[in-house]
Parts: sequence; structure tokens; C-alpha cells
Amino acid sequence: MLSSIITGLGLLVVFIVIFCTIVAIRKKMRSGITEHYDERQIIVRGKAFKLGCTVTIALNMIYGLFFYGLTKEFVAPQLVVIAIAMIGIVAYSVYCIFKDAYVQVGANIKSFLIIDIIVVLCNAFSAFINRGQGITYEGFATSFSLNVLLTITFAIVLIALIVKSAIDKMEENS
Amino acid sequence: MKNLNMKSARAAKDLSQQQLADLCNVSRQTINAIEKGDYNPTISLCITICKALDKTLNDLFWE
Repeated sequence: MLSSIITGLGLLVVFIVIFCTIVAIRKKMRSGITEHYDERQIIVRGKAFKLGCTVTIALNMIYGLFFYGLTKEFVAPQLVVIAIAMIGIVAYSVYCIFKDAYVQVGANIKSFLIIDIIVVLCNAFSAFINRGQGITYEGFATSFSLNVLLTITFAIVLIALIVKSAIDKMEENS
Repeated sequence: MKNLNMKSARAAKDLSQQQLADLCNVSRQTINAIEKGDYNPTISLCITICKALDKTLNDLFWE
């Protein structure tokens, strides 16, 4: 179990380092450009935040009240709580995407798509490497299950971004 | 309620929604939402749009 935690932490550190490097390089290359959210997008993001929080709190309450006792032998509660947090993130992101408040004014959606694809592929690859661990181990979530959760979360966001891009292109053409 | 005054003023200046959005420093979807009547802009954005289209607040945002 300790080795799987160390493996997971190691992968997380690598991911964070790569991510921070990409962000730093982009910042240096785009130092003169100001991207921001306009007033309508800020309002929409506030509503999306409310939606994400409500979904997270509601699911946690339903799980805690009705399903914790029934499922604690089969599924690690730690994994369920993290999964519920991911569902809240997905609700927030998808709402922002379809209300045109995900991408800043002046930002290019392609960069978000590329980063999302990288995250999905990295987590999918990590999940594939750790596939022998199973979903839970001694009551704790394994790195395999966390990688699967992250892969699914970012894959849903990626699909939403692609669908929205296609809708926007159709609207522009019409 | 749709803002047809703003749409016609934009068309008179031969500006696309994206071009007007760039002038006003907002997203194209915000301009679209204002024209469709789905979003009521703040007074500061109204003034910015009026300046971009060379119109007054009465011309674009008063019924």
C-alpha cells in the first residue's frame, strides 16, 4: 500500500511540475496580453459555483444519510467523497462551458482542449499502469481509482468543450 | 426583449458581433446575449457599446 501511495504521489508531483512549467512558459510568452472574464461571464461563473456547491453538498448528504452504511464494505468512503467532489467540478465546468463563461475574453479554446487532452491521457496511462491495484485497498482509494476518476472528470469536460466548439462553429456559419 | 436598435446600429457600421465585442472588450456571446435580450448589461458596458457604435444611450437602450 505504501508503494502505491508513493507511486501516486510521484505521478502527482510529475504532473504538477509539467503543468507549472507549461503555465510559466505561456505566461512569459504572453506577457503583454490581458485575458479576463467580462461582466456576464462573471455572473454566470457565480451561478455555476452555486450549482457546483449545491450538487456537492446534496450528494454528500444523500450518501452520508442513506448509502454510507450499506456501501462501506464494498466501496471506500474516501473514494465516494472524492467522486462527489469531482461531480461538483464537472457540474461547474459544464455549466460554464455551455453558458460561454469557461474561456476568457481573448483566450483561445484550443489551448484548453490541448491541456485537457494531455491531462486525460496522462491519467488514463497512469490508471492503465496501476490497473492491478483494484478500486480500494484496506478501506482507502487506490491510485488506480483516483486516476480513473480524474480521467472521467476531464474527459467529460473535454467532450463538453468539443460539443460547444462545434455548436459555436455552426452558429457562426449560419 | 430583443435589442433591435443595437443590432441595426451594428449592421449600419458594418460590424460583426465579434468585431463589436473586440471594441468593447467583451466576449462575442455577451454581445449576442444583449442583442437577443437574454442579458441586461451594466451602465458602463452600455456606454462602451454606445461609444463604439457612435450612438446615445437613448438610441440603443431606451424603448
